[in-house]
Amino acid sequence: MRLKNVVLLGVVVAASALAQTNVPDLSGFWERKDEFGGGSFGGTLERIPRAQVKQEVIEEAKRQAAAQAAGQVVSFGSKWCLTGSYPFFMQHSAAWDLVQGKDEIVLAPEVHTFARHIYLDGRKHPDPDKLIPSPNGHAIGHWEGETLVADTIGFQGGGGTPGGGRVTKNAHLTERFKLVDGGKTLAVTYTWDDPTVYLKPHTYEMTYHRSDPATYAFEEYCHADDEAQGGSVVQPAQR
Amino acid sequence: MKSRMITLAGFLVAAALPVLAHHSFAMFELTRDVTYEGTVMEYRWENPHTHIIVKVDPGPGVDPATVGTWDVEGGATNIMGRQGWTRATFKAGDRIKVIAHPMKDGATKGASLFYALMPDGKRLYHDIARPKGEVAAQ
Amino acid sequence: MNILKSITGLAVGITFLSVSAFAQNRPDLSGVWELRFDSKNVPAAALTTAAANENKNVQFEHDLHAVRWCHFFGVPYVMDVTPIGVTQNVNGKEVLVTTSVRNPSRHFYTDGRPHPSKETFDPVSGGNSTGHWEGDTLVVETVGFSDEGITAIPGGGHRGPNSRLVERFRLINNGNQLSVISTWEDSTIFAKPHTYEYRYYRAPKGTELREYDCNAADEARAKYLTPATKAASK
Repeated sequence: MRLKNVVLLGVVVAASALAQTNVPDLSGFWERKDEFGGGSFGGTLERIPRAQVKQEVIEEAKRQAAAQAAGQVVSFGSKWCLTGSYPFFMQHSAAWDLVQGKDEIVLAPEVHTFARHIYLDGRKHPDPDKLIPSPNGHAIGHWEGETLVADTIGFQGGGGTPGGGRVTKNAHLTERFKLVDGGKTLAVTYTWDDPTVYLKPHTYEMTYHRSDPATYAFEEYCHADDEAQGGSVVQPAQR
Repeated sequence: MKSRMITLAGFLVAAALPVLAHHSFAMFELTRDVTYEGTVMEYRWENPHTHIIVKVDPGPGVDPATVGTWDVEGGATNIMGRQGWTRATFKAGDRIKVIAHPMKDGATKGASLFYALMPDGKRLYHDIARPKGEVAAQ
Repeated sequence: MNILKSITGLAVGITFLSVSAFAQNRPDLSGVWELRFDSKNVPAAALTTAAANENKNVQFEHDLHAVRWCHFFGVPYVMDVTPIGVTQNVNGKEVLVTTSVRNPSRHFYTDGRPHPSKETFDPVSGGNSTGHWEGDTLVVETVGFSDEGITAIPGGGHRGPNSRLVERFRLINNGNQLSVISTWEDSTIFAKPHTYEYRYYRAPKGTELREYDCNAADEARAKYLTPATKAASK
């Protein structure tokens, strides 16, 4: 009996270790591909289901759009190189690098924002009174079979999601990362839950294609002091 | 203080839209592919956008609507770099053939780059946008 | 049956581990590492005459401008932004260094690749880094620097397009410290290679990197930093 318990304990310990090591290798550079529009600027993103948001969110968006159309809003985040809060870089046409460590997975973007850490060591989210809102929020993850499940709270808010959603400090994001197509693509299912924004959780999937293995990280520098940052062939210039 | 508020408000609106590049591209005819074949006058490899100034001369087989000097706008250098572009891809004086989406207003000789067709037949894409069916075929 | 499946899984896991960095007896440098008062051992750099005669205010102005406008800081400054995060890919192909400032992560490619061609590589604030292991030491070579960001180098001098940095990362003190020995070579700046060491301490378990944002449109920021720039140039 005692021997049987020892054997079982050994198997449990081994299985536990495997849970952390025998998992798919998601690492590498990933990028979107878009055949329904303009790549960086719409296309696939516009095909994402519309979020069902509360009426006051729609009204606020209308007010802001009207103000912008009337010329009252004269400044743009891109002119000032403001930080793109999550999930900005996951929608961008620049690739991002997934680095798979023993205790965490890091998503490293090349646009002007921060690397995103998804902790896999079993830690919990900080207590609400100690949680510091940030562009990427606080993310913890675990494996469910071959799927990485990431749970994120603590967003500072201010950005948007595909499908017309909004990110606020109350947002709770659940993501499921899974290799498909023999590892050539990575499917990420996003579910945003926020009772102050959505009538029901906003769920959509995006597919990322594995970049050329020889690719490397570029730096998308952004110079707010450069006049060109506010200009293009498109008028009016941003201010 | 007021201007800061306006700045933030602008960012909120911009972030809410499904527009993730440096500026909106609603003014381009993204479904229309026009070929501009001519001479590179300037090749500005820079952020936030690379610009290729292309002079199209009149001639046999040249669409008169494309004649003139065009500002063909590309993406940031990192985005184009991953598609195979470099700072040495073109220089002033080179012949060039680009497929681009012209501006809707027709008055401004500006266009959004889709891809350049290189002499060896290879396409150098602006960014992650591809012709319909190409992604599925990969 | 379940036990059999577990044992089968174990075999698969071992196969996986055999190609990982850890099964190759590589130390795992991963962790959050912080600088403390006694972490730095930085001698004065031996500069070329030309570099020694450079106007130090110009360097100060350059670097402060980068701070004022939220440019990427780049290397080596990000190694001073304590704590730094090190994430070693389990597949052995890359080591990533992250910081709490809005700066590109440092990617050390350890898959045997060479640097990209100088003819086409666009110099950047962090350069391009490749790495290999020499015993228990990760040796990282970085080239391809631009003048973006904070270019001053600890001990004197600054990075530029001709600069080459070699860093040797090694765990010491039973894994409680990370030694990073940096050597800069640039015949236009240094009379001889400039070497210094940072010894980071492993941060307490659970320490996380924050995200300190930077807003170039912040009027208070501009007001605070601009007069200092002007004062320095007098």
